[in-house]
Amino acid sequence: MDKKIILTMQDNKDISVKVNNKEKFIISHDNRSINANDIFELLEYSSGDSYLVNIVNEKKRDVVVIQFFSELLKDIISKLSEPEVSIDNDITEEELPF
Amino acid sequence: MIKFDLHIHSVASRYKEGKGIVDNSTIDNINNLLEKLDELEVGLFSITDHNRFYVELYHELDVEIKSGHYKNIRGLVAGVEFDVKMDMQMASCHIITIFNAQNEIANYSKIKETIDQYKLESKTDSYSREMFERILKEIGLDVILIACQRSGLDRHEGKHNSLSESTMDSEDLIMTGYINALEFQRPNVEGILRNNLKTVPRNVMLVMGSDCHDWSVYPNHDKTNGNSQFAHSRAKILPSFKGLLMAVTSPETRINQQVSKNSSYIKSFMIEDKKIPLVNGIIAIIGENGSGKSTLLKLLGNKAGSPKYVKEIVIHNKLICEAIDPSKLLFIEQGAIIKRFDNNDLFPKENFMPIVHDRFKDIYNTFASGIMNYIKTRIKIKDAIEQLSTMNLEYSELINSSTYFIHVDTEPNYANISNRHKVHKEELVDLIEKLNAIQEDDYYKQYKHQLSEVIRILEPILKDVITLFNIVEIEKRTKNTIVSSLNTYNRKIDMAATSKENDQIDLLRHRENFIFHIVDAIRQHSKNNIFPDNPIIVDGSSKVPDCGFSFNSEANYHGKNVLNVFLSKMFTQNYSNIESLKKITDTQSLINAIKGCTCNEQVEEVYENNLNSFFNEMCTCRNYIVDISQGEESLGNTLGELSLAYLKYITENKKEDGAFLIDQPEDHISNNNISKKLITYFNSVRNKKQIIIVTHNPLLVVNQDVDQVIFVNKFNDKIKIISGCLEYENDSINILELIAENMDGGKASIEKRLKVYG
Repeated sequence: MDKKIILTMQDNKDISVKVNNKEKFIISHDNRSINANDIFELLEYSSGDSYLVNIVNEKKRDVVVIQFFSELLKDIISKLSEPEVSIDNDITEEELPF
Repeated sequence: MIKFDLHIHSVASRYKEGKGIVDNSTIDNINNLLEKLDELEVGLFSITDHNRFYVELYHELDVEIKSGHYKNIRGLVAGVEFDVKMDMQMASCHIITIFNAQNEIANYSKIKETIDQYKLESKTDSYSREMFERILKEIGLDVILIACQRSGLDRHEGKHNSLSESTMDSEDLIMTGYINALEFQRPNVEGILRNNLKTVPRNVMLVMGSDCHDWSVYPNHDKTNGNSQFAHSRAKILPSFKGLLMAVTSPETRINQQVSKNSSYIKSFMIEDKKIPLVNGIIAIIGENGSGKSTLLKLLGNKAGSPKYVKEIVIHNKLICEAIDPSKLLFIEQGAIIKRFDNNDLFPKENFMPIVHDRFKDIYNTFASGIMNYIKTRIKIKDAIEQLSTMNLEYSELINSSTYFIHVDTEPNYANISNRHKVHKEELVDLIEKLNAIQEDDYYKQYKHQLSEVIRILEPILKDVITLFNIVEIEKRTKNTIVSSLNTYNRKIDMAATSKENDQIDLLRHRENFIFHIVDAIRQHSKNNIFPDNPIIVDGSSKVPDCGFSFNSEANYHGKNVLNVFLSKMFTQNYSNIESLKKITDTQSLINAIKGCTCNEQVEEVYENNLNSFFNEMCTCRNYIVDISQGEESLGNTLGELSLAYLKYITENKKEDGAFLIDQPEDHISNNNISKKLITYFNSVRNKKQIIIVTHNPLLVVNQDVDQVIFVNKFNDKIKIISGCLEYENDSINILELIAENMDGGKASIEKRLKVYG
């Protein structure tokens, strides 16, 4: 399933986190932290899911902060798409590097 | 074994026969008959005229037989062929009546006088059943009644003077013992009668009589009516009325028996220089306790060398027996069976084939580890998710600060790689090693080439798997080297960095760790965690057929669903069902679930112990024996039942000729089983082996219908032997009386066997 995650900087500098237009949680302007379980529930991952992370910050407020959380989400999504074990089975003994 | 013919006519039957066919069967011509009988080796016969008795003829025949001119003719029994209407509404039948006249003129005369008193004059006349019985009562001699039967017992019409033409109840008359035997004249009728008599619960003697009327053409009927299919019936009896009585009461052992094929038997023994011959059949040694029966048996079994008292009795009584080949001798002394029963080696242990439990164990090992993996995965998922709630990542400006040092970290599990090729590599190595071993086995000699081909195919596969295994191993080594180097590098950075830089490193590490745990939790959660399927029902049995028995071994799990046993052995009561196990999501519940487990450190060990305990219980095998001839029902475990089975087994087991000596085979076996089974076992081999038993049980003498009885008596250490067949009697010896007087229940057994004649 395609999931669109949007981090929106609000006027009061709270950051709203939505998935497919549904708000999941808010990163408060006076506590710029995020809980791991909130991210787990936000992603609601099932095999085959794909994510797109966007920022909406028209007034360019606390850009580095929203960027920090956006990059964090992107990194998690990127890790999820990596295979768990990667071994090239086609290598022959003669081709081994050692 | 003698041939006999109980159906010969003389001139006394003239009133009923036309065309003069009996006119030459007169006293003057008895030598014609006797020569023919002697030539045909007929040992016992009777002149059975139609409703007449010819005293003078009998007397002359007795004189001639006693003279010894005819060495093969050994006995004459008195008889009459009566015409009787069993049912007055039906036709008459012919009943050959053999009298126990003991070759005495007075008895002959009594027969004649009584018949003459109620003489039938017309050839179509017959007696009513009441009159027939009245005549027999007035004669007052023991009789054997043999009814003529010319076709099947279901034929009630015709003019063949058959029993079934005279009554609708012929089976009843046979069953109750009123009619003792049937006489047929064509071999095919014997088969029909045997089939008719299948439902009659007693063996009925079927004999062939010549019905000879003209002695000059014996054994044919007369000059014009021959019987090319006639063959004399044979009996293992003394040529007397008593001998016939024995045959009538035990036709299965006496009539038309085959001569024993056994060539290795004990032929005789000596006592005080007197030779006692032994028959090649069943011999019963009887006598009081302490009379020397067992000593005699030991002598015959070549075991009389010990103990000392046996040796002394043997010497004192000059007992000698020429030993037969020990390999042809099977000796079971008294108490031997109970000894073997107590030692649990009544039957050879190797008869029970061990069961291989590998499949069962594989299935339950997989199931047990499947359950454990399922639960552990659930615990891991829950732990991973729960841990997330406690993890926060806070924005810090440090993230954007520039730094002099570059900190390089790996993921926590970077070098933690399991090599999935390991198990496959080991499997293939084992397989090829096994094939190499099999290839050298002589059993597979003819398949050597094919086996070699299989190895040749497998070797490249193993090579590929080894390559893949090596790649992963190299990756593991490489990554570990990298991690080790990075750790060293990072330690150096930590030491050289400023506090701010260290804070930044911490932040980065925390961020990495934060990401790792979220990704890990998601991955754990997304894994397909499936509870293993219930194990299938497995066969765990072996069957080895041997000597009419099936030696079966059966594991406790054989053919049964033992899932509940597994669950109750592995888990505590609250968790001994699959639904409860599926709900476990924390370590404490797992500890509580595993039977006998008290802490997390014990989980694996206790779980494995429980599994082993389950295997021990399930792989315990029950050995049991099935008598194949008795259907699939297993034998009981009582001494009696197993003794019986053992005797049957041992009699079947020794296929070759020989002698089988048993001291008191009746021990521990009920009289019912002696009658129904043991006697049958001995009968089944009596023509193949010589069986010599010491016994106190009259069933094994009288009902067994032994061929020879040896009565042993002892006075002042001197043994006295009396020997003879059951019906043997002379002026001083009567074997049946000896049995009646010296065996508990002997008289009752004899009476029971003979009661139908009482």
